[in-house]
Amino acid sequence: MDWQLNTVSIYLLFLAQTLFAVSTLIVEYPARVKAYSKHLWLYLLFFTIGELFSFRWASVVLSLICFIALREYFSLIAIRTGDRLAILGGFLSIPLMMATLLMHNHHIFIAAIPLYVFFFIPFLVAIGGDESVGTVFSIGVIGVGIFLFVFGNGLLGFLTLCTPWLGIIVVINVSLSDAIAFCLYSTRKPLFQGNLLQYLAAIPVTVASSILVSEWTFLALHVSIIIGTIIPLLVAASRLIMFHIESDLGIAQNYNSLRRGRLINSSSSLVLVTPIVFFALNYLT
Amino acid sequence: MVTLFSIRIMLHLLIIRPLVSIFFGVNAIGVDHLSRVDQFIMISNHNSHIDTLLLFHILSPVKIAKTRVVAAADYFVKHPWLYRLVTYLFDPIWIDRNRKSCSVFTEMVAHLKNNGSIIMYPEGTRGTSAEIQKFKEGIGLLIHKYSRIPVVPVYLEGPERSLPKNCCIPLPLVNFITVSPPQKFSGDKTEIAHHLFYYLQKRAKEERQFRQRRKNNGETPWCVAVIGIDGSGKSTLAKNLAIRFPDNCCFIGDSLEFYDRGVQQVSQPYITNELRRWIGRKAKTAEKLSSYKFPKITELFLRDHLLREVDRWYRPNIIFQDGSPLLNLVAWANLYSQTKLDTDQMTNAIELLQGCKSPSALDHIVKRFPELRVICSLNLNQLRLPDEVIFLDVPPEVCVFRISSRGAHIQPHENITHLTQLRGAYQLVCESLQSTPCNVTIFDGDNNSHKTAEQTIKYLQSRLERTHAQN
Repeated sequence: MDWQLNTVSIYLLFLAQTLFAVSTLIVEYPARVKAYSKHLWLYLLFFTIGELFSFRWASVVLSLICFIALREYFSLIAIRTGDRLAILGGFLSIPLMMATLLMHNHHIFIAAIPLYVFFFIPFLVAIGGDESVGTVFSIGVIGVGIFLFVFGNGLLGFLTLCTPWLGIIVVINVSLSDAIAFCLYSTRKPLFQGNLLQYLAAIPVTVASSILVSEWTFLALHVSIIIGTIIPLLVAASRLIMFHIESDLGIAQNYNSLRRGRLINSSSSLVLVTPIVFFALNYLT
Repeated sequence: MVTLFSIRIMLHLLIIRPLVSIFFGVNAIGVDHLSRVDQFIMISNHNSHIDTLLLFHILSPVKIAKTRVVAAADYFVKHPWLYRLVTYLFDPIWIDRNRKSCSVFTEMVAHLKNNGSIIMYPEGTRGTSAEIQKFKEGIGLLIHKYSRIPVVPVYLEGPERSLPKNCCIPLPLVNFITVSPPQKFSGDKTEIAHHLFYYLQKRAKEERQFRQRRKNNGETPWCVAVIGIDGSGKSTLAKNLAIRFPDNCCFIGDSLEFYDRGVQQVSQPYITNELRRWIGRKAKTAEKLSSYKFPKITELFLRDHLLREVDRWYRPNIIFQDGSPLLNLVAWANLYSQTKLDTDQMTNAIELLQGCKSPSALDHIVKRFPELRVICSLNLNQLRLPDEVIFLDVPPEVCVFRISSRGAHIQPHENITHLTQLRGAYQLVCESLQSTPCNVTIFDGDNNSHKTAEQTIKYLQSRLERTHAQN
């Protein structure tokens, strides 16, 4: 076992999150906090397993996260009987993600997932049923699911492959932005006017955290500052996107009563932010 | 004394439960209601084979040992290994839906007297969609007799998407179980069954209001089939109707034609149509009745497939068919059969070919027509019943005269004896259609073809107006 400070910090983060997740079982927290803490625990488990054992095992955890999120997403969308084959194909994109992660080849991954959604999914939709009405909707809705939960999580895996703290800092900064926005949340203000300020308020914290771990992320100071600045802004935009997606899927209306769509709600900022951060880092470093 | 550490319960707790949780995902609400009762009659909506797995998932080990589910033996006996597995895991009270017997009720009563609990699906069979079907009165009778035992209504949502009827590959999708508080009922069996039905239907409505919805697919074309014996002029009438009806129409007969208010439209060539026409020509040139059968049946199935293709790609408002594959098959079955089918048997055969009834439920008909078993096993029993049937009734003598005056090849059945039998068979088909949503009208086909077409158009227009008014 590696006892260097950066590795021990991952274990400590995981331990702290585990304690918090356990406390949510005892103490009464809002439903969103409970769900968010579970989701964060899963991602920290992914990093911890990667450090404790190997990336191979960590990729299994990441695949499990993708599976649970996709399962939840596909449960909420309106599917036709003819889309069943394409949905099965949607789940099969997870082994594809895992294979490219294990090959350490993000070039294939970045090309394969869009091609998968562009050609393979429409093909399965076409051969799956004898009804043409709703084909475009089906292709779109399945494609969105794959892009959100497989593409987003896969790129987080590739960030972790570079150095674990690169993945962790994205997860931590997104969580900090969400947490600060949640604490400053006011029901009186419309989403993108007053609430943008809540996310802007997170910028000093996320910049500070990025600079703090820059020694472990191997990012230059200016890159750390840029990453710390853009993440809260991207989280704000992601929340706006997901607000509309969740309204359509029926998550927003009955979040507390029927306990559905919680993983989607919790992980939406992360899966939408990660691809942008990945490409920003590719360009900046 | 309940044995908690049996292999059966261990299998439930250590294998089935984790597998169901990981693969399907179970989101249960109100499970604590079950802890308040020792004995119960659990009723639930039924859409999938997963339902029983989910209901056992929420039971405690003690309750697993004491609970039995009422299951359809006639379905499971077809797969002996599955039957044995289900018998071992769930210890069901087997019910044979084809036989009316009191033994099942006696077994249920005996189990309840023994402090056992029962899981029942009052719909009787799996539904085809998330809609709840009418409840059987048996549930009312059992609850009425044991009104002291609490009834636990459970609403399942998700299994109809994970593993719906007629699908064999399950999809990993989340399932939701809503357990309602235990209730006790008084009143007669019909009232109890109605109350439970409306209770579960209310749950279903509440759930559905949050669901994502798709745009309505639009209306399916109105399908009008002109039936009659050979030489009755059904093909001419169907084509005339397609040309003269002031709407976007399609004619499916020897050819496939599209008309928009009388103007013929250009259509793509269909491989199915070309293949059907080629097989149709083979059937027409057959020398014997026995060699006519196979190509004719194939042609009829291709014709039905063409109907779906037209519906899918062109979506005309009205489809006029020369004959109806479903009704032709049933009428021809009577021509080939030594012992004739009666009206009820014909209705059953129509439902079987539509896929509304399973072959195991209609064993007496399937035994007489082995072709039906082949059709069902190939999953071809999805034929469409027309919305409107026009039967052109013409005496066989007139038909034989018309056929011989055409100067074309005379088919083996185109003689007075066979056409008389076929006419009788079509009359029976029309009678048996009275119990279906299809509307049948008999026209005298002995008239001038233009006059018949005019009469039919007037009639169909009034029917169409009435249908629109009803909608």
